[in-house]
Amino acid sequence: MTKYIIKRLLGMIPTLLVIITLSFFIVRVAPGGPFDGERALPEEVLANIEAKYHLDEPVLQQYGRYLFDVVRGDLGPSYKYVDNDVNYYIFTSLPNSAVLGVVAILIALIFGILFGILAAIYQNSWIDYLTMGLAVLGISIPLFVIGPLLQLVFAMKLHWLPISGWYSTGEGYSTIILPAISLAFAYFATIARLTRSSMLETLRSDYIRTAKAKGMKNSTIIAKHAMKGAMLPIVSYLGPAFAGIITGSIVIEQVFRVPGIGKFFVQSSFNRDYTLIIGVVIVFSVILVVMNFLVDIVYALLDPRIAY
Amino acid sequence: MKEDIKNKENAATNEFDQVVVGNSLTKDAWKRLRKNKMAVVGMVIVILYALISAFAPLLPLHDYDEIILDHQNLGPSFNKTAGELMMENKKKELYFKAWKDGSLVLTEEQSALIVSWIDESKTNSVWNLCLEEGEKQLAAGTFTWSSSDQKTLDKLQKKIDEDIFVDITKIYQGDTNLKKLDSDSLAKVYATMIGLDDTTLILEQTYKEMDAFVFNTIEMDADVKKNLSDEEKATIIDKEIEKLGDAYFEEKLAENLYGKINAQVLRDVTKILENESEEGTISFPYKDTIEVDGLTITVSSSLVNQRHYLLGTDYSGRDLLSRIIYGGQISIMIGIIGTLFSVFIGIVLGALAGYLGGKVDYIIMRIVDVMYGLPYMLIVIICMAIFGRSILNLFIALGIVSWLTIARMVRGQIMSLKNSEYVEAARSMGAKTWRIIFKHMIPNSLSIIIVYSTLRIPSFIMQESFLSFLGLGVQAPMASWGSLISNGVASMTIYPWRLIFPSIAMTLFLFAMNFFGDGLRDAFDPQSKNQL
Repeated sequence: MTKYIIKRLLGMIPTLLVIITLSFFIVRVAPGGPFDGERALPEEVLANIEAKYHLDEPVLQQYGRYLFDVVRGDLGPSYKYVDNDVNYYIFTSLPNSAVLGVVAILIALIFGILFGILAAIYQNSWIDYLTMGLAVLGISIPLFVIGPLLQLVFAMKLHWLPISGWYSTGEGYSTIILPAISLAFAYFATIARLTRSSMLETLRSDYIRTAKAKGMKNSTIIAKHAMKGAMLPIVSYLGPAFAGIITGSIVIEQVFRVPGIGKFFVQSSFNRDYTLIIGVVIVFSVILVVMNFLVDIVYALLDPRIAY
Repeated sequence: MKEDIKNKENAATNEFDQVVVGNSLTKDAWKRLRKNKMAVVGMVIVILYALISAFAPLLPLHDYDEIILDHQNLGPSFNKTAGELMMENKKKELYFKAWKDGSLVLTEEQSALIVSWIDESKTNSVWNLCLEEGEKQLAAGTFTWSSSDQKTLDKLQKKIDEDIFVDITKIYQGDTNLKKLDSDSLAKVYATMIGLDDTTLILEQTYKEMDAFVFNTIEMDADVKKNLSDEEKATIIDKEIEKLGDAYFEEKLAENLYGKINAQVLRDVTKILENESEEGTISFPYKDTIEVDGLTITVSSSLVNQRHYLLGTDYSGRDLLSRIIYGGQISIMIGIIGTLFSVFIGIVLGALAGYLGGKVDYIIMRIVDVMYGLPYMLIVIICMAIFGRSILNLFIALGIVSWLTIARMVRGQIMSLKNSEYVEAARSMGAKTWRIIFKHMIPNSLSIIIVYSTLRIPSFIMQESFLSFLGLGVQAPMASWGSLISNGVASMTIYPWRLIFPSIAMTLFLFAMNFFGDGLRDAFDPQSKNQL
């Protein structure tokens, strides 16, 4: 197991290196720079700015310098927001995005698994049809449709929940609910569907029949035996789900005015704020890669058949 | 083969002398697909969408990019014309104003209700109540318009009744389309139109405008630009024009002159039509050719306020129905072309990896693994923001990141086909590698590839609209479902239809597409049922 973990840890390095390199060079070959404003700057000023940010050096040297800084945990200064550096902006907004993402994934997991199991146990009942209906709805409705529609219904018509805002700016914890549900819906749908089908398969397998034959209670069979086997596809789906939630949070943060990291990402892309763009991408990638790593470990722990 | 089956004498028979009909995978799958009701419904809806998009130019729709500022944000309506809706909106506004300054008296409960609605920013409810009560009181005689309001309403009514919209489609001189003429001939045409003998004055004026146009496009510091002397200016402009090239300059010159003629023609034609409509000698919608100043002009004209907008209009008075249809056209097209593009990359790389194996396989699969771990939508967003928001970039950016699954699938297929007899046979007869791959193996896995491509289309459309929603995809005046929804979100409190209709259109299509794709997959690969 230790060997497997070390192998997977080492495997993370090339992925991160690729992402840093790719984003570094994409933003640099692009036409136009961060200092192209409405009016051109005098040459001396531009030269001074470029010298300050080491933009006058050869690209490879810049790349080396940047890699070295990133390894030390320094993502450099922002080109547009001069008051603070990239680390500051990312780590003040990251907690908000993290809360949103964690709540969303929890909602998706808890309700997805719950509905999936119920649908599998009571196959062809109303709860099964409801789950499957929601599942297809979930993958068909884009999250930038479901977000505004929830706002329209629950905030504007029924006045149950605030329409937008975020608790960190003093608007109450109920501000988390709508964005988290919008973000979670698609993943809830997929998880419910996955749970249902793998649960159905597991319930038909031999070891469950054995347990039944031994006179075990139905609830014990499901909680103790079937669950463990049925969870495997869900665990392996968590990787793509994390990726989707990270991307989706960009839109949801915009719709619900959440002061998160996604907002900076879109803005800095328009502004060509090189360091902020790459910084956000690196942070997102690290989160994603670590999550995938954890998912693999959990999977290996859950399934004794996997040789590592 | 088919004739063999029809011709019973030659057909294969079993021991009871019944004709044995072979069943292909496709036939079998089609049978299974037809049994799946939801998949069939999905297929029908998809085909309907495809037909509507394909024949959109033939449908009686208003232009999707025709801006009519009077028609901003009109609500959806089956029976009311644009003019009636405009009148209604104006009345709502005036009744509300009348309530505020006290001339429209409502019961205390109603007033309290309005105040509470205003607090909750339920603008529409306030307006509707004011309109309803106002109309009631107006009919009962307990309320009359103030004279200035009455004047406003009369003016609007006159405008609604009389405004005609004139669209010049083509201008001909004799048999030649004016668009095809060069600048000299255009100048001559314009000269005769405005009653000048020669073109010197016109050309002088046009050249001046061109100079100003060129000067405006030169990138230079604003302060420096302002303080240039006339001579410096002239030299800079001459240099720039030289740089642009004669052909380009001539093209722009002709464009400028054509614009002038067009504007003049539009004025004249509108005057003629207005006169005729007052005399009642023409009926609208009007579509014909008119002779003005020796030019033959193809005109289409309509009483613009008589239009019906089934799904309402957007913020610049464009017809939402036609924008949804044309937007759907673009979204579906992007879905299909993008899928084809990514499938092509996926097939080539997957086939190479599967067939060649060894190092090639290792490298390609490592690339796939690494890319699976990336938040690739972020890369797409960066590319779109930085390299410009054209549709071509959209295809490239999305295509480059979405070939992974197809590549894996094709690789698996190819690997399983690699050791089959017919491939062996081809190899032993000396067929080249690429021939074996593209002539034998890919056609044999094509049905599965097509099925999985169908499943990709909705997610492609979703990604495109995701980008359009962020303002990085399709740009106005073009529309896509994503950009329409994005516009609708901005104003959903007051104009909810602008969010709801595009959302329904898009969701219904994705819904149908998902059912259809799932059905197809189940039909072609029954074992995959209940899996994702």
